Amino acid sequence: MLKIVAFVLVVLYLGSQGWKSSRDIENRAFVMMAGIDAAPGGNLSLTYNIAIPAALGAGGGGESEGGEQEGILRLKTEAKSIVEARHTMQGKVANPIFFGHLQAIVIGKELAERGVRQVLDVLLRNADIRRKSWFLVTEGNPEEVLEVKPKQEKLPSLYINRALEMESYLQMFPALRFGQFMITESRSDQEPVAIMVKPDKDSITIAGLAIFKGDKMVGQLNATEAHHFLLTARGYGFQPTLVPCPRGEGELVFVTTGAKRSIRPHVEGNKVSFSVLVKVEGNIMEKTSSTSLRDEDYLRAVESSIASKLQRDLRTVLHRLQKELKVDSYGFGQTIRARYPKVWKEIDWRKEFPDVPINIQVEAKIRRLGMAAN
Amino acid sequence: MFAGLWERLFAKEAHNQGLVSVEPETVLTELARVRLPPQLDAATSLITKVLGGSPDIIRREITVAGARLAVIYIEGLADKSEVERVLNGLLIQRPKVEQVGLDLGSSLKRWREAGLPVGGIRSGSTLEDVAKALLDGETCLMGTGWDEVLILDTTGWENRAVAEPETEAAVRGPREGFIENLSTNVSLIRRRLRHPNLRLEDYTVGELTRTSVTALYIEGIAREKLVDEVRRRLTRIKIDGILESCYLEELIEDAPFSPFPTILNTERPDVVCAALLEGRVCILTDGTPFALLVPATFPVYIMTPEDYNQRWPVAVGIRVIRYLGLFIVPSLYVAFTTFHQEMLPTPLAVSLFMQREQVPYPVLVEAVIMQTTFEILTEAGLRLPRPLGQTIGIVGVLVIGEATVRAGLISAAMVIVVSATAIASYTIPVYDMTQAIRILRFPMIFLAATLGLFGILTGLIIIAIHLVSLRSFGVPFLAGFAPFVRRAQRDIIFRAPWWAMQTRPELVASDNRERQGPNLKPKPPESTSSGANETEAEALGGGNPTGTNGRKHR
Repeated sequence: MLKIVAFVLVVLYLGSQGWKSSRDIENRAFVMMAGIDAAPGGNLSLTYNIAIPAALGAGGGGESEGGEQEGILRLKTEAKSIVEARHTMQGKVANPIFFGHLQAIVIGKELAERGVRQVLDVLLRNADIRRKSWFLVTEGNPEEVLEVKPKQEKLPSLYINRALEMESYLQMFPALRFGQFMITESRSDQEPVAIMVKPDKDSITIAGLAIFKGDKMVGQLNATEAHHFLLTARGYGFQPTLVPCPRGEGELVFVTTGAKRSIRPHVEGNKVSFSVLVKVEGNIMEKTSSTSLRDEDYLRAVESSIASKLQRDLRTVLHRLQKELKVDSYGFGQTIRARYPKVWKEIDWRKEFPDVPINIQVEAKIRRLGMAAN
Repeated sequence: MFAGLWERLFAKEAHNQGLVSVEPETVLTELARVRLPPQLDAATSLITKVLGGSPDIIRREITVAGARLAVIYIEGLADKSEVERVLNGLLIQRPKVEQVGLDLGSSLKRWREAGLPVGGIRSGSTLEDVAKALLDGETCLMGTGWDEVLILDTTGWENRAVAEPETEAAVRGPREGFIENLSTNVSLIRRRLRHPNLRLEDYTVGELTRTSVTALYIEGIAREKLVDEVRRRLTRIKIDGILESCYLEELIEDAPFSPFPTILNTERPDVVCAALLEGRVCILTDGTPFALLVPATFPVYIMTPEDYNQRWPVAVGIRVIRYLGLFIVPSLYVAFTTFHQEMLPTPLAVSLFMQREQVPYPVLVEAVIMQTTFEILTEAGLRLPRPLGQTIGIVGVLVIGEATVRAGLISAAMVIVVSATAIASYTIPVYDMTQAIRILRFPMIFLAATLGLFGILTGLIIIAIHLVSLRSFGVPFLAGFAPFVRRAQRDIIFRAPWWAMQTRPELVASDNRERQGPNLKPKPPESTSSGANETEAEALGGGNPTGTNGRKHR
């Protein structure tokens, strides 16, 4: 009898303790997106997009009446620290703020240039936040990204997530998420990059990549440059290359479908140099020249002109990153660290990198010409 | 007030105990001491008196060869045509008897030898014998001056015809199910197992109902120890009545408090035969079509006869699906929506978030309400008079499925979860196990709502520990899984083709485990070999030794 009573008491106690900490799904304030930017006076300005279920539901029921209703509660505060700002915002919403479904963290360029260490620290300390959230930088005010009213999805955050996932699915842009950024940021042999987005009224576009040195943003690449950077850095990137026809009039569009990239470090004493070979494969998908592609020699000529064009482009981007911005976003340092750990210990990579000779070679191969007979 | 209630309850119990002490058995043992008087009239009147002078006791007196005889039977229990044949024999054969010059009237022995037209004749001398015989539907023949009574086997009463079992329907497989008559049921099994080693042991259980119970096993396959255990458990039962095999089940099972059944019941003779072939013991109870099978292990509750009646690749898939059905549970939904929202994919979370917004109570309450409503519907569906079934179905669908969701009382997701669970739970073929799992859902929901996934895991661990500790007639309930038996894996989650299942279940059957010859896997006929084989192959392959298509598989 005593045992039964004790058992029941234990169960009731555990149950009540557990019950207290349970929180039904509708009693949470889902922060779907967060925007963080620098504010005057060394302050931070925080913007949250919080989902409002009632409004979301109404939109589904009747399009006519609730067409303009957003389903999103936008809260904005300024404070010295992120946690303080969050605290203030918690006071304004009825339910506990929940970051479990945070889709994207948008950082303003101003803050990015000032340094994102503080932001990273908070994001890392908070167990709620997913490493899968997107870590985005925007040229203007992050609020504008949060205010996007997409036509394709109800919630802007879901739209942004979808759109960026699509980019990585089509191999147009890698999925550079928060977790990835964090990992790279903590490395000594590579500098992080983040996707830059440009908000529109009802959509966003990828504007390029933000180049970071440590936690500070030092420059940016536009979308084309970013593609060239990614091709060298990751052997990645689905991108069209416009090449003039080597014989006669017109142009050809070559679309990369895959690339293999090998970085070969050469070490002599403490002198480091690299030779990079990028082997690009792709298809001809559009052509305005009248020359038939069925000619083998002609194809080889096209391939070599693609290769030389890409080689030029890749070298330009390399030059910009190495000589102007002086950041190793490529991760050349990794190969040294991995293969020549003794050399790595002796050199200061950040200082050394701008002067390291790097030779990029490109080989192109056309795989398919499409269905057209010529 | 409560004190009074307790007192009354206890008083009632004491009163009941008083009742129990009037053992009906004592009446019968007393009767056993009374020998029938040799005078016919005295004997018959004594018999009718013992049986309370019921109007359904038929007494017929005749005179054969100058001797007075009486035939007694109970209407409805004895087969009228059988009784008629007896009377026929007595009355019509009389002249013949008289011609031969036998004095049958007074000689009991002669009567037995003369051959009455009935199957079984035995004799009894006490009132108990007579009373028991009459209640079994037998007919008593007695005469003046006899010191014994002839008991003629005329048993036969109305029976349901053998029909397809409703609770265990099968697409492919025999359509016969047990009926309420024990001897018919035994015959259904005997017909499928025509081997002298099939053993039957009869027991009479229940002081008042005196229900016949038969234990069946195959000698040499069933373990001797198991049979002994069944014997021991059956003989220790002392109860007033056994009306269904569940009475027996509860009296002989290993884990009386467990929600899980440790004895399998079935309505199908083919299932019983399969179990007997594996070395299990079957217990048939008179008056019910449900046979008990021991020992029962967890996997047998997930098996259906169809697993073996259709080709194995399909059977494997279907069995795996059944196991999956075990894991569809509302508690996971509850845990995810009350604790682990981050574990849901975002679009799903948003969708649930929207649905839940309108619902006025917490997920736990919602889950319990829906689950209970479902149980109520099921129960009502069972008890309803058949013609009403459809009406309730419509009410159930419209009111619970549609209106509650529209009214925002229940979220659509919860309706989906509960109905999916309901459907999934009925993929478990044995009703007992379905019930066990249905019952366990409730505590699991509470655990999920109070402790989240941690609670679910705790619950699962407790259930696992419990299952591992269970035994059914000496065999671990999870035999095959724990203790792990490699050979047994051929017939637990998967079902190997028949030619690969060479042995009987290791922990169940005795040492006689081989159940088939080696190399039974079908092969194409041999093409070239010794002369004898060649002719054989020719005979089989119609002159083409490699088979009709000329292909060779080696």
